[in-house]
Amino acid sequence: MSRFAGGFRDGRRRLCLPACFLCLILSLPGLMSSAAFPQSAPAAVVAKVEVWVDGAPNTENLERLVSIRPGDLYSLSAVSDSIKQIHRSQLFSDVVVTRSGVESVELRFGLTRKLIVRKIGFRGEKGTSGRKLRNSLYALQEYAYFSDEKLARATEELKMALIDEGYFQPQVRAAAKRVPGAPQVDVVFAIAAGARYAISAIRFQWSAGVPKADLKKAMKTKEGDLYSLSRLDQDLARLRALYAKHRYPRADVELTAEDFFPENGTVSLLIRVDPDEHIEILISGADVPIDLVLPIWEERIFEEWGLGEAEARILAYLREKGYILAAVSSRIEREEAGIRIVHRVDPGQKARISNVRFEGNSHFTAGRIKKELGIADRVLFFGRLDGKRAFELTSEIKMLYEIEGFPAAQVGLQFSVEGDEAEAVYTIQEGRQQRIKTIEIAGASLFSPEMIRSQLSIAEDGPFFRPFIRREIEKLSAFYLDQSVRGTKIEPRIEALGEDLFKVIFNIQEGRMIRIQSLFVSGNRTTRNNVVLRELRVKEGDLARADRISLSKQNLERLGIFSEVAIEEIPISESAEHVIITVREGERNYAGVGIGLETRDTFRSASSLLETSLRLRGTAEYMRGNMFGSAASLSFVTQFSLSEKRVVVTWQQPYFLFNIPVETYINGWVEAEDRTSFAFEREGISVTGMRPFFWGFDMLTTLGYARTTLTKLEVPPNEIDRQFYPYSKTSLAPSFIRERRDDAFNPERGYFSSLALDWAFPLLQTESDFLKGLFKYQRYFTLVPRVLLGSTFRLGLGMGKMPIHERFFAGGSNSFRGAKFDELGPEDPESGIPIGGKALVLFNFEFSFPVVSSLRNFSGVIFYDAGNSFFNRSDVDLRDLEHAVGLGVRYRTPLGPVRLELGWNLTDPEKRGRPIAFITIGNIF
Amino acid sequence: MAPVLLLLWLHPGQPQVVDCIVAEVNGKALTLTDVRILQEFAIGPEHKDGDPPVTLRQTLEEAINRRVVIDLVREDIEVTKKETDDLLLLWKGRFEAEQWQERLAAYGLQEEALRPYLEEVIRYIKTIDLRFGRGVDVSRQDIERYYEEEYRPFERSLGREPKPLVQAAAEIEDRLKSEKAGQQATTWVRSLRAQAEVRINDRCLEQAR
Repeated sequence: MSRFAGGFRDGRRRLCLPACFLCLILSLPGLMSSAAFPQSAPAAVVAKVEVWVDGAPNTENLERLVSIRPGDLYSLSAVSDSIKQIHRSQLFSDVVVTRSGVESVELRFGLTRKLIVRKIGFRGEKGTSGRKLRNSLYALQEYAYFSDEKLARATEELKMALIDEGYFQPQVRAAAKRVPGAPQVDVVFAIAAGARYAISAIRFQWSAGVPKADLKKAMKTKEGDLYSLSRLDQDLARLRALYAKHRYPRADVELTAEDFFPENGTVSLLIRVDPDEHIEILISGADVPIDLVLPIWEERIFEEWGLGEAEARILAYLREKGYILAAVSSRIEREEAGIRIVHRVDPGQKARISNVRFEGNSHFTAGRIKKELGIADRVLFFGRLDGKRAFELTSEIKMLYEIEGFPAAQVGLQFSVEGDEAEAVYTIQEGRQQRIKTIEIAGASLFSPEMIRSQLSIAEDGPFFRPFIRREIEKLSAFYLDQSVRGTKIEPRIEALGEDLFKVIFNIQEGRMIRIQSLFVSGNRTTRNNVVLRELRVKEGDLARADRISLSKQNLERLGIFSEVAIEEIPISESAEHVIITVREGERNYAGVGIGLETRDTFRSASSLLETSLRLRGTAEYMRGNMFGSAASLSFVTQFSLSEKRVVVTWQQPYFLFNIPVETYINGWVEAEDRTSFAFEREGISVTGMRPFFWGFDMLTTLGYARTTLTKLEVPPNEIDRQFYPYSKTSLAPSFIRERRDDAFNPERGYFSSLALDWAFPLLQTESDFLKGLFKYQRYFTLVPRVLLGSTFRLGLGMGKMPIHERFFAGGSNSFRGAKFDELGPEDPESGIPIGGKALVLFNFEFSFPVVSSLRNFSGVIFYDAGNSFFNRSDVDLRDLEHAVGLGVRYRTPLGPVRLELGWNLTDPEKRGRPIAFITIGNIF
Repeated sequence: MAPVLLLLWLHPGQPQVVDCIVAEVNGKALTLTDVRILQEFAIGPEHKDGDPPVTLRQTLEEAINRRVVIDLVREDIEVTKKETDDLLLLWKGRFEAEQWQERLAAYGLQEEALRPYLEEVIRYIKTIDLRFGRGVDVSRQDIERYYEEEYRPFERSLGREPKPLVQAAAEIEDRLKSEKAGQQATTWVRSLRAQAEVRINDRCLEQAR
């Protein structure tokens, strides 16, 4: 080492010490202040606010989320409030705020974006299918937010799922891998399912009640089976049910010991059974099932209550069967092993209630009471009031009066019996009616009292019913929210103004009107932002109207591309809030397959089914949703059967061009159909737009081109068919639909009307030149519960050059049940094969009724159809309608009824007397 | 170089973490500032002079317990303005007037801004009192045992003659009831906390050290 280096080092050392001392002196005040108080400086001003996301400057204008602005006085509590507002947006898992500067403060908000799970995978010895593992996950799901806590919970859920499958000590390790460049993670669970044990012995520790052999027999788990906890739980439930059947409803059955033998992979189980009290139930005097009352005694209850409840159930059961004068008396007898409950029943005379009468009612007419309570007059054999309902009506009538301001109304029920018919007489003591004299609105300044009053359902001089006041408060609260006012408190005050008159005062402590300062959209990885924003009915700067915010949420849900939509309002000041829209994109791929059998042969009897040639019939479809993030979908559907083959490609989007709000479908299809008189092949393309019209109608308009080639013609070709082969058509088809049925598949009330026009015009060398329209009206009535009357009217008219495949045909299960498919209407004079026409008239009437009261989905039907198809419009004559009657049964399914019907044609002398059978799914249309 | 680095590190102009999310309770954030404010100001009505100061971690745990109880219990416990005023006076009473204003200013707070903290403390105490304030029984044997094993030795250790059991019984009973209620409350709060979703960000807590 040189003397210079050593000297230099000494010199450096001499300089360092004073410098350090100087640093210490300079920093001492800072050190002292940070020790005494948190890092703040009085009167410091915020000069700059930055927002960084995931370690980089944000590019999404997220400064709007921060309520601190440059120029504000710096304050820790304001920083804390800002952090909480950002956190409430649920977009970020962490927020760290750093400060630099003393008097002129620069704040940086460092946000960590919440991660979304992109994919969940499983590897290793899974022990069960990936689908079962995926279904067992609730804490963590694809396209949902990720957190370490959720990952830990998901790991436990998988372990429990494997344990339920019979695996012991399963090992599950989770790994979350961040997707580069995106706030997403892929989660992989590495699974070692563990060992499974076979059950070597099932032992019981039990005292009495059920023989041990019966216990083992009742269990599905047997010695030698693989041990599964979930399966054993089901067996324990079976044993409890078995004990209940042997009159030990309180039996306690539990697994008390599992002895594992890892060396040979077996486990021995010990099940303890405590039968508890033996409960014998005797019901004498009537045939009432014990199971009706046994569940009452499964828990330890107050015995008097139990007897009362049992008597109520027995009486309800008997009354429903027509024993309206039944009476029950009960007692409990104590025995050594338990208790005996004795119900002595006097059923009385069985009678059917043929009439309902009211006495003492002056405020309500009898008709009004019946209408309000749904008491229908009898229709033929149907609609009788059953005894159980007759007794329930007493409290319902009382409630009806209370709602109308009669708090002291009393209702009694008596029966006047003659033979096996009875009249139910309700004796009503109305009492005095309480009314509202005045309604006062106090404390409101943002809106006029008249405007607030108009939100109320109660009125001055109207009936007073205390529970409705709470409902009115909810209405007023909703009104204020819809007017963008938050924080409103409404308290009622009710003053008695003398006998039966009240003053109702609504004291309103109004909140403040709130504006939307910023709107944020989150969770859309595929869907474009403008697709989301387009559905919103609020924007930045608008008043925060709750009804528009709610409508925005409904619009987003209606798109059908999100499995979850949440809209969060985050107050940032007394007059402003942020609105955060968080969506979770749903599954995009759907596929379906349907297969059936069909035959052309006529089905005459069960034995002929064996000789019938059956062919496969099927449908396959695939749909991909949210194409290009635009909420559009692309689907492929193919159908094949003996008589038709079809491939349809459809592009559907919620808006037309330039965001015009018309739901649009673009269809392309290739099809081949084999009808009675002809067969054709067709290819075409169409564009359909659908949108609500006015007067409650929806309008569909279709512009299309189709090219049809007749491959078979069983009748002599007419001029059109001969001249234009193949036949090309360009058409414009508007339709107007008004749907007011309660259920489109199984309607019971309401109506449906539609007008479909098809204007085919010659364009681009196409041959089409006709106009046709089809009007349809349907009406449904419920006469009494489950007794329905339905009617359908159809009128079709056409003009111009209509080739055979465009004409109206009728006949079959969905139009006229007195003729086979397409066989109603004009026929070729030589071959007798239907040729269709330019006019169609159809009437259908159906009366359906329950066949077996306990089978609610099974009903019988009688019907009357009338109609015809006419070659020319001028041929339409109601005297030429054919008539058919028939009957059938139907079974209701969620997609409509399965119908089995027999129809008799009353008009055609050749068909008279011979029924035609139809099997169909869906209602007539 | 070292002095320059030292100067830079100590200079207040360098970025410093001033606040962060220290915990999440059932989806709601607790910031470091919240915990500091509670540590700085909040004391319960039973606080006595001479009680040892609480650490930041202890304050955080108590704040989490309060949030968990208030969230999960969901009973509508009313807190009156008088109650918050009284507790605020208790909080103020520990400081000189000037000190009080300085401490408020350090956080950029007005007195009114302390009300949410005050209400939370009162609501928590009332909830516990509602559940465990009454119905706690202490047996005669417990009192006697406490008298023999705790009270008498303690009094003697202070050089005092222990009062007879008859005179000390009421005081001992109160003390035992209070302890028992406290133990029951602690167990209950612990069980509620196990049901709640609580996440503590230790990294944020480190920033305060």
